[in-house]
Amino acid sequence: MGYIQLGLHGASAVKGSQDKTLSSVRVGQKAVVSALKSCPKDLLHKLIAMGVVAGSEVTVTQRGFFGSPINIHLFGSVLSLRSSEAAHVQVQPL
Amino acid sequence: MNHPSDTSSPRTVALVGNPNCGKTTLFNALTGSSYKVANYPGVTVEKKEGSLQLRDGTNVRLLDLPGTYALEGSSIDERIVTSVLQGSLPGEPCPDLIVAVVDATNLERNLFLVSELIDEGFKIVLAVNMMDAAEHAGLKIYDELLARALDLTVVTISARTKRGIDTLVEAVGSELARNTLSSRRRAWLATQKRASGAEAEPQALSLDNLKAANADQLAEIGSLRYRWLRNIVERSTGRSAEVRSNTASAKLDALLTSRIWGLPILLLVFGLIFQAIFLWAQAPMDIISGGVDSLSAWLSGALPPGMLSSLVADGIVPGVGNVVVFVPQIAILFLCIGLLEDSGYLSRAAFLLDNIMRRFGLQGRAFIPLLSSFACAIPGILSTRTIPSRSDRLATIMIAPLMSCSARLPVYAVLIGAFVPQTLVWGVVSLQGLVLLAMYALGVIAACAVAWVLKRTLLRKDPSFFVMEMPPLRRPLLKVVLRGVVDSVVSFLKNASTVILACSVIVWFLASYPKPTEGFEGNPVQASYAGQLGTAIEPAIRPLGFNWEIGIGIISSFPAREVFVTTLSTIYNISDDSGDNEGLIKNLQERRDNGTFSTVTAISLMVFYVFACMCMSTLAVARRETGSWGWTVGMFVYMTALAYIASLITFQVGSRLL
Repeated sequence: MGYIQLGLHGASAVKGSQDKTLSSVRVGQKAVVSALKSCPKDLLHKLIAMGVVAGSEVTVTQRGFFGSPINIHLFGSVLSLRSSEAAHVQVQPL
Repeated sequence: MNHPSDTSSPRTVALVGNPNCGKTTLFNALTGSSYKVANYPGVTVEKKEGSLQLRDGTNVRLLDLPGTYALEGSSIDERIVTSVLQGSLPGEPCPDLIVAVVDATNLERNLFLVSELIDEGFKIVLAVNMMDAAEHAGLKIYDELLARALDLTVVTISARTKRGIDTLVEAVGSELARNTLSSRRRAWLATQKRASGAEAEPQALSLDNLKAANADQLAEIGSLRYRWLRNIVERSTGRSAEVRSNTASAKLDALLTSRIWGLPILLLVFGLIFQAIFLWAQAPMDIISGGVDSLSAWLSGALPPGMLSSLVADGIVPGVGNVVVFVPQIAILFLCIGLLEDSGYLSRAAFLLDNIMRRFGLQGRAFIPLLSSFACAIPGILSTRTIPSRSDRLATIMIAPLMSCSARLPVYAVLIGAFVPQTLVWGVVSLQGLVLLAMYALGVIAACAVAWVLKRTLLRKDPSFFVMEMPPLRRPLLKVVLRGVVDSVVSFLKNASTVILACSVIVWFLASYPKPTEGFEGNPVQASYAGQLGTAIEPAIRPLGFNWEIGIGIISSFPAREVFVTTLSTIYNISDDSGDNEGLIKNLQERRDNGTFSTVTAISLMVFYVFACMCMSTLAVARRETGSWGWTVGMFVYMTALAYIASLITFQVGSRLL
């Protein structure tokens, strides 16, 4: 399968000391997802299906009251998730 | 290869795609909006099916499956798509061909599902939809490159403007004419043959292998899949810059979700909707109830006096008419909700409210079902299907019937009309309106409390999450919305009228027979079966301030609340018991003046109706949707207990104060 070969130098390559969680990214900031950490399985499937995977570029576009939920722009759409869920997403700010 | 099962029944083509990819618009364009809606057996997920005529004149079945992001999704809608595709639902064959619909402006994310379908060995035609929007945003799609990279037939279309539809139909035709079976369809036919008659075993998905994978491996596979797709999309599209959403809509979006303006705008919007439901619906409701009255009066005159006349004019016509009266309100509510949903605003509402609802153990998405429940808990419970987390969904189903539905409205209206004076508070606000609002508020407050308790007890362990796509804001398509309104009204009438019809016949019979013996003094209803029943339960409800007459009303309205008004009218022996509430209101006021029906009793009765679970259809839907008798019985028991206790407190405290 094509995607296996292409991804041999996989997602795990992008990791660094500047990693922080998506929940702490401020509005307007761009970031690249580096890893999904200790997600429950249903949430993990959902995040993967929505494209929140290592290597995806996201921009935080809006935050609700008290910082939750967070709206992020990725690919061609906007995704809304709670800050508690965004806390599972490790990112590298761009 | 010619399989008998292929020629004897029409071939099946399924439309599959993400939510908001324009799948339903395409379905309407392909079928000319002539389709039928049913439910998949055993579940209430809508099954939309139409007929598509190919170029060679043959017809194929076209299925519009619910929107899904991935084959391993956890919401009911998503799981149903997976089982239809697997051919594991009884009576639903594994489709011959899938038309995978993707949004051209968001190819990577949309192609994720397609890549899973490819891996599962389906025969696929890829319809790249929303080409007009993509071109508007300066995005070019080289469909031949895309076709080669994915090894699929690719057609670029725009379902809204009907562009490329003919090409798509042609592609479907030639793909089907090739007469080679997809590996999945072949495997399915083989199991069908083996099982011959018995239930076919579902074909395992190769994705099922993922169940063994741990979280890190899953994340890695997902990341690789996206990397592969990103690569393909980069090669087969020309994008000068990132696709930008139009700035006016982005500004509007920022305003609607802003921390300062978001909630005030939300309150304003829903305030207007409530106004609309009560103001605009009034005139058509008056017309309908007037029509029911005249019909009933005309019938009792036209039919020869006797049992039949009484059954039709006192039982069936007013009983069923009582339900039909709510149609304008339900139509307006569904129109408003449909417009908001199609424009993308409801997702903004969910965003704004998630943080508040989270505190009660609910999530932003529960807002839509709870809002619908103000019209009727049935569509409310049905719309919880999009909530992916089981515990959030169960909690929402359990509290949906606490929202005061339109069937409670006639009960409130009669009691408020009779017992609350028509005075103004602070010179502007009507006291009657305030009392009505208080009843609605009481239900909402109780719902929050029940959800809070459930999430800390029975539903404590289930994980909950809120990850939701925000569809782009757009002008709603009136045609789609109106079709939805018609569908809801028809299913409301079908669902409710069967129950109501049966109830009104039963109530009429129980309140009419046996006839009192010669020389019986007093109310003839007291001698009937209903009267005997009411008298029997009177000791239990006396602490709530209710007498035997109200007791009959309550018992008769367990199948459906609005029956209460009809029953009370019948019992009060009004000649005109046909939904014209003025007669009943006057009668109640007479009873208040002679001391047999106090104001405290009326308030206690309203409180009882706020909480009591009196709707067979709701329980039936709850049973199907939760798949459990435990939750269904639980719903009935907790609501009835709540009603009894709240009424008891209201009456005991109230009668000491007033």
